[in-house]
Amino acid sequence: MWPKSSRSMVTAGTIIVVIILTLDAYSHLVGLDPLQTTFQVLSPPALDHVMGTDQLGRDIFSRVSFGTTFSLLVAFVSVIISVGTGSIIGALSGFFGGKIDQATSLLFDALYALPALVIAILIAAMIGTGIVNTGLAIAIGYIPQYFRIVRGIIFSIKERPFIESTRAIGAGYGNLIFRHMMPYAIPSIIALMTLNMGSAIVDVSGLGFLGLGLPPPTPEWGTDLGRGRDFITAGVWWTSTFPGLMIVISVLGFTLVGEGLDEIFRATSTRKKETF
Amino acid sequence: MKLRTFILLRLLLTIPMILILVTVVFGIMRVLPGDPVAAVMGSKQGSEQQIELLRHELGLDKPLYLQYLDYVGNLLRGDFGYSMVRQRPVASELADHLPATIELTFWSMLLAIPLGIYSGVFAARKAGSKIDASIRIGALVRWCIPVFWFGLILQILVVQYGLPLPVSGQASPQIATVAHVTGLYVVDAILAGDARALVDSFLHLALPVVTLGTTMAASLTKIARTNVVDVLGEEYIKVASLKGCPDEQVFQKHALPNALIPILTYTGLQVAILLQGAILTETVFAWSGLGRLLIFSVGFRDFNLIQGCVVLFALVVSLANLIVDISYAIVDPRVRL
Amino acid sequence: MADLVLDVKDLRSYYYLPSFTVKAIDGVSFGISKADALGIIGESGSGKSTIGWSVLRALPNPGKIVSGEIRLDGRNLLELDREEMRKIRWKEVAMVTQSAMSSFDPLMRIGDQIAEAVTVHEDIPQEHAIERAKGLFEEVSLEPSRFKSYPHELSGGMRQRAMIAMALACKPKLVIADEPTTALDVIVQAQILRLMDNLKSELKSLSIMFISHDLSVVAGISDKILVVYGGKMMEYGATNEIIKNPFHPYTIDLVNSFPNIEGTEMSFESIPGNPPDMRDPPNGCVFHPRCKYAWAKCKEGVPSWRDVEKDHFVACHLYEVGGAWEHGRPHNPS
Repeated sequence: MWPKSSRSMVTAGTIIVVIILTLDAYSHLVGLDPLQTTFQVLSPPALDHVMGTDQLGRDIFSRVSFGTTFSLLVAFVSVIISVGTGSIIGALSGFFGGKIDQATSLLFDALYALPALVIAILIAAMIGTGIVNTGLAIAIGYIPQYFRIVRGIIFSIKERPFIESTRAIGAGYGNLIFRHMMPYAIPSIIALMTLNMGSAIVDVSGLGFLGLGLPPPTPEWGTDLGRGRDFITAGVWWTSTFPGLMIVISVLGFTLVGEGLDEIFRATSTRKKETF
Repeated sequence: MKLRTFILLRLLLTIPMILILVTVVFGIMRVLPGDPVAAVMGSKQGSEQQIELLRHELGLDKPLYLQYLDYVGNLLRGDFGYSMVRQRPVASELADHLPATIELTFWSMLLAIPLGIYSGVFAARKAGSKIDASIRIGALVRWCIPVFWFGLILQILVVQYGLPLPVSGQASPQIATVAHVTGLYVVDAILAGDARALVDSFLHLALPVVTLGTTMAASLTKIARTNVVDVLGEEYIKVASLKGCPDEQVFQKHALPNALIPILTYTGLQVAILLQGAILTETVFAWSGLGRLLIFSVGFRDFNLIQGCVVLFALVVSLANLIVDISYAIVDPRVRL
Repeated sequence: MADLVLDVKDLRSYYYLPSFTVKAIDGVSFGISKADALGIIGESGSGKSTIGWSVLRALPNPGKIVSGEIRLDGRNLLELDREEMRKIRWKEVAMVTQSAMSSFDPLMRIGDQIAEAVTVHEDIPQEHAIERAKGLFEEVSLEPSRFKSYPHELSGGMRQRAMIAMALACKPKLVIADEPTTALDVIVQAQILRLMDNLKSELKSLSIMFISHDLSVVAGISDKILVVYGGKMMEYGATNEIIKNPFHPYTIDLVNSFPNIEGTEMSFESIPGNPPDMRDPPNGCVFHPRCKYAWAKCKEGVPSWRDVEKDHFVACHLYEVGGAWEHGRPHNPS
């Protein structure tokens, strides 16, 4: 029963992600201009501007489609950074154990107390904005998760006989850890990465919303959403609604895939023996 | 090990953990590029002397490790430094804004915990059914909606449909200000016996609490459901019903405690996420809490204030984790070993 | 025949999985008399555990009892509704499972869980139930100081004893023991078996169904043995008879594959081949692909269940008309 629901989740999620990427590609190929200001300021959705225009007369549909590039790119950068850093430190710490492991674990346990966004706000406040900067700021908050998972897996298979025998053959540490042990962590890492793409997109837009994201006039969902706030009381709803909608859809896509993968991996690894 | 020993050890563990957090925050603030003096000066041009004086005042001419020790020492005495922008001790600013955040998060949790856990447990009992699927999808979609957008949409709807709900702030300016005893508007209204102020506070709490509360509930639903489903598959549940226990008894006496208690461990993590959500919610609803203070201080590059806010956040989460860990040990006998 | 506590007639239980159906038990009949112990022996996948679960009507989810009768003291359990069956469970038929480790609620004290077994069925105050539970604790030789312990604080052997105590809580007529010693080391295993044997002698009205793959364990405690394979019965008889004078080739292999510590040097025998694929069992006799003595008839028809000697039944074509052992089994079949 479970594999079926998780399979449909992965499928649905993948379809959504593909649609978004297609929209993004379309916006580049067709040459939509997110920066073109016009005099049609704050006009509601109509045939010529499907999602209306913002306070500078820019077409929101263009901004929203183009913005996909930025949100996804920054999210991707941050996920890569956190996966890389967290996994490597986690693998090394789990493998070598001892005092270093205890200290590192304590460090990351403590870091768990700082929510990712707070760290991101802090770092963004210090080093400013930009694709790599923002990506880095968000990444730091997610490193503990990868550290924990990889460390846990390495720890649990460290004592297994096949590791001992590989060592006996004379495999070096690097080889041992990364070629023989890490593969066991890969399913969990992949599921976590996909889920984190979703969270990272939310964080990117969160930073943007707070004014700490990519510098204007970059079309970023969160930033546009935040700027669009000013006009809500005047009855202008489209400036904030559409960027937000894009956030929800893209996060939904990645989260569906991530959750589905997570279920599948859990189901296959903990299959209880049936005795008749 | 005995419970008392565990509690003691756990309390002691908090000290290095908080120290690490404070150090990390300090490190980020000092190590990353960005000149506090330039920020305070702003666009004002100053002479060499003035800059040096300011630098000395802020203690920035001392070697880094001394600055660090000074800072930690001050923290222990409750001195969070001085806010250049607000011209007040940081601690006072924090104290002023903390109650609003506490009020927001308290009511949000009050909404989130029953809503999330009940729907998760309900869905798990009916696992595989259409209603289970609906609850799962609902929670998933709600989880994917950023908290700030959800709040914005609520505001948009209120404005579009002209609903009589306030979209920002903690209280209406028309209502006579109630004496701020605790800083918690609801409590203060009760203490003052002011019914109008009480109703007003609740009305202002409505949208923010729904925003933040449903966000938290979405994760709780998923966690609760997974836990209950896992526990229902455990051997001892089978044995319990084999013993002849009626289904309700099996569920309430054996399944629920085993399923819900691990959720306690997540609560610690959830507090961190809740505070994160509070920052965004406060910004959307112009709620004068710590979150809004943090963003304000970032905007004005008030380093001491930024540092103070983040350290306070870290302290609150550490405290929450401490309480959670100890509660967990009290409730689950396996943990103390 | 003595009064049968349990009378199973032509029981069939299948597991309906999405792509195929597993015929876990396909036509099993036997009886257990009062104060008797029946050992059911088979490999994993033979269906032996399914028999135990079927009697309790507690088959895991895709499983269903398809046909047959299960009579407990004359009453057909398959005709009872849910509530009636719930009352029977534990009060008249209890189970001791393999994984005592995970059979106890980790959050509840052991003593309370045993007492729970009592209060569910009998309307007596909690203190009396606790007293009963403490008494049971003594009977299984568990230290009274352990009564208030949590499951994780007990060793494997202790937990198994606790399970046995819990099974006896309502003084059932029948206890089904499903591989109760498999997860234990040999010394503890012997202790548990000795305990069960003692209990059997003490509690004169207790019948036991002992399910295992280990013949030496089963032989020690059972009065009668039923050999199952591939969901079908192979042989049935008194324990002594089965051990000294096995009829079915499978039983012969089983008996021979256990080294006799006192006996003369022998070569180790094992049973070649693999257990049958229960999704698609072999035609004819389910054992024939692995049988040394298989002949033409074995592929075609299912052998009938016959008593080759008094109270000693077997299902094997060798003993039927045209079979090599029609008039008797050779003295020392290798």
